[in-house]
Amino acid sequence: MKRRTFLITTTAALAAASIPVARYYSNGKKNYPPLIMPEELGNFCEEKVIREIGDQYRKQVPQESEKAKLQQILLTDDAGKLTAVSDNAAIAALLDKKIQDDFNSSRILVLSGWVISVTEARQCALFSLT
Amino acid sequence: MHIDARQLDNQSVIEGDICIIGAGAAGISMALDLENSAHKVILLEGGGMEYDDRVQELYNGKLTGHPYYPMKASRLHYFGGSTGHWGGMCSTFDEIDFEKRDWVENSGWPITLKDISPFYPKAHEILDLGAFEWGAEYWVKQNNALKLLPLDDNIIWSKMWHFSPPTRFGTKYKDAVVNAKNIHLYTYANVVDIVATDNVASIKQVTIKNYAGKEHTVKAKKFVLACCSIQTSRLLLASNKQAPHGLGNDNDLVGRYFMEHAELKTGEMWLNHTEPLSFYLMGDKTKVRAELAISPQKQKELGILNATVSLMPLAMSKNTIPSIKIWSQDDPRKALDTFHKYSNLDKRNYIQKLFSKGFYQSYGLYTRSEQLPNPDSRVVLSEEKDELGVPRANLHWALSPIDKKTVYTINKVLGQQIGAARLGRVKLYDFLLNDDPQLPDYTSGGWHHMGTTRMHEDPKKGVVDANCRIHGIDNLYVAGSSCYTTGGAVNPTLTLVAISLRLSDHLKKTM
Ligand SMILES: Cc1cc2nc3c(=O)[nH]c(=O)nc-3n(C[C@H](O)[C@H](O)[C@H](O)COP(=O)(O)OP(=O)(O)OC[C@H]3O[C@@H](n4cnc5c(N)ncnc54)[C@H](O)[C@@H]3O)c2cc1C
Repeated sequence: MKRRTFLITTTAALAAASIPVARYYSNGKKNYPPLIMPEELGNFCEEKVIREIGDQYRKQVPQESEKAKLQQILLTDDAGKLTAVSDNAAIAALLDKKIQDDFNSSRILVLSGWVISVTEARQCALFSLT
Repeated sequence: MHIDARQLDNQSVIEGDICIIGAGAAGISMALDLENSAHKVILLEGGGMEYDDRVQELYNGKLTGHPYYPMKASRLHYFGGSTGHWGGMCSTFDEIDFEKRDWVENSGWPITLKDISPFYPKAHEILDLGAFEWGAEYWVKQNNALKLLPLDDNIIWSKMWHFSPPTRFGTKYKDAVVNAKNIHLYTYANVVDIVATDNVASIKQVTIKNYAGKEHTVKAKKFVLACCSIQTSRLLLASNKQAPHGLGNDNDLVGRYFMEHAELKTGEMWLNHTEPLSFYLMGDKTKVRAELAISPQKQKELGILNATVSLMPLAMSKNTIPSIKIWSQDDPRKALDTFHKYSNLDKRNYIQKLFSKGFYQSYGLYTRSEQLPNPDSRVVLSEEKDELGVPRANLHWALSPIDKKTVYTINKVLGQQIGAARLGRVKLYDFLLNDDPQLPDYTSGGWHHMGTTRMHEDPKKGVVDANCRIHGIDNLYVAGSSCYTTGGAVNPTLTLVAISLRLSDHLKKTM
């Protein structure tokens, strides 16, 4: 085995293992409001990819390509109650629940290769419009 | 007793009760299972005790269809057979693998897992697989460091694998075979023709040849073909003096339904936190590991084949090259050397040791899928003959759209499960997202040869019956994975040894 290849792989493995994922891609990323940045997915994807996912979603679901429509869907809970757009803590909790429900009931999509929840796709769509 | 057939007088006649053709995993397991029985076992091995390139050359042939390993390099032609190169990864078939599945064309064995299960413990022992424990929970209880992923078992479950050292039959079982009183091993005894009675209802004898120019005859009450899928079907097709299309081939099935496993890197799993997933990794000390398997319910619901996904730290996975790109030399010894060089096993072990608890945050996903039994995936005879005058075998490996659908779907379902468990996210590789209905050219096989004499109760749909006997011929049997009706999602050797032991048990009871 060539020592050089060996070292490169070892270093790569070290890097992958020692950087907490939460900071892996979010390094240098702006602090976006929870409505437009899916928290978990945002840890793994660069902004470019989030935007790409959003573009793809809007193309696939043209009836949800308007900012207002997306906001309304994202901010409304199961009971039809609307969360205030200024309440970031409440929005984060609401979206967290929606995402969990999506995964539990297989409301998932594959966009840019990522297996994500419909709610996450809508967040990305909103991001792509900002 | 061991006799080198090159040393016998030309035109010798050898006689016994059971003649087993091929001394690989299947043939040796059967012969030893018949040790100390009242039957005189003739074990015919085409090669010698060691690799011999002139014998290996008899395997050469042409490839068409999906890219595959060179014919000469994908099986070994000497005592011990392909276990001289195998990797030793073993797992059991699932119940669903034997069932007739409406959504899987040509599925449905005439036997069930219950028919094979009694033979798994002995097969397990022959392959040196350690404790006969196949439940993931058992292994987790043995070692606190091993953790199961908290997924829904009804969707994705943790399927156990055992690793053989790997057992090399040629070294481990040589003395036992040679010293057994009732086993007569002949090396350099290449079977070139199977001679049937005039009405082709039974086999009278087989003809053996070697490159020393000797030709001999072997007579027995029962004959068992244990040369593995390609050579077994080749021999049946080439034995066409009494049956113009070859023996057992009245319905044009011999050689068809050749199966492999589709194996390739399919995506990445990114976790929110470092997770100790050493239970799912192949470590230098680990004798077992788990893979993520799609449940039978989901296979049915989604209309897919059986498949599993294994994990590898992403940094390592990114460095691996598809086996089909590496195993490309004709000489199997060189192919193996190159494979070891590129797969950098030492390096993998080193890195894994460095992170010995298996704490990683990103993993490469590697999928192994059953392939649809496809009649166009087949072994045919070539116009060209080998040194002993037998037409060479050519292989056309053909995959089907459901193979790709399966690979895509299991990874997507895994993504759903990882998301639902709040573990992280899964990303699928681009080739799974394009419109091409076929898996890409770099999809590798696992050197798993299955089918070509498939099992079915109806002679119009299969070559052998539930007892591995060739339909219409009362004393000709096939041992090994060529009898598989479908290939399951796991490597074949454990099950093929079990199915061969079931055959020797049947022969003992019916002789
Ligand atoms: C690189 C590699 C890795 C593998 N890894 C795994 C793994 O991890 N797990 C797994 O389950 N399987 C694995 N396999 C497959 C495994 O080796 C086979 O499933 C197994 O060896 C098949 O056993 P067999 O007895 O049917 O055939 P073989 O082992 O191939 O034996 C056939 C025997 O028949 C003899 N023969 C052939 N033609 C004639 C003839 N005309 N006359 C007389 N004798 C003849 C041959 O010389 C040979 O000894 C691997 C194979 C390879 C090559």
